[in-house]
Amino acid sequence: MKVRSIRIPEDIDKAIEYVARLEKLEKTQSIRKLTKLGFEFYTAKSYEKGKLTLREAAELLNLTLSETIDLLSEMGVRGNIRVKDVMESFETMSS
Amino acid sequence: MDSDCLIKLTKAGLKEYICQEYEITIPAVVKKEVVDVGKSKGLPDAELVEKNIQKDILRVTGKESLPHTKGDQALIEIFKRGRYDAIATDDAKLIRLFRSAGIPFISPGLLIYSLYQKNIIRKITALNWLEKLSTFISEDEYNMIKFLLEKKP
Repeated sequence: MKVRSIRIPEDIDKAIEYVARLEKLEKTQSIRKLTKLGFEFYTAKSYEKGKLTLREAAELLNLTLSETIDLLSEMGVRGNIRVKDVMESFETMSS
Repeated sequence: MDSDCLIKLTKAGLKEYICQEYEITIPAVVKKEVVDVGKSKGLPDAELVEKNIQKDILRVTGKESLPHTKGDQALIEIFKRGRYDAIATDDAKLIRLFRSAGIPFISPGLLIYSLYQKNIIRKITALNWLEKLSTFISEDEYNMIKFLLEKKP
């Protein structure tokens, strides 16, 4: 593990303490847990916006593609195709 | 077919049906991502896909792809070398890549609609399959396919 020294705003510090208290964790464990969850959320949102492929998301999260689909699904991200993509594909298919 | 589409169809329990009706090929790198990596972690979808490959329901191609070639690039290379109709994917960023390369694509939801359009499956079956897939596709895709299915008499 790497050691980092960072300044934490008061509200974030409160959040860290809250999770530590609620889950009976050390503050450092709470920070790690929240950072991991935050990164998963960030990656899921990036995928949802079409900024990442599933492959790239899986690589960032160090998961298999199947595990990434499950994680995204748990976070409410079921896919990222838009209506225009479906319509374009539909028109190609019909022609 | 790309990994995301293959895994989503497998998780939804629709892969066998879709593979019976379409001639589906996956690049060797997709097989590696889904089967080899998945099996090392004991994922059930990996075993199912492997069985389909063994039974020749799914064909694997592009074994000669360079080891550093990623799935995205392998799909494009193989599409350009072979005689395929489209790449099946459910990934918006990949779709942009395919669009810029002039490669037609099809989403998993449209694979279901296409079977209904060709009178291979009934509307009720298509709607049922779409429901099974709904956990894994975007709301936009789900609503659009449902609309298309309900619109056609």
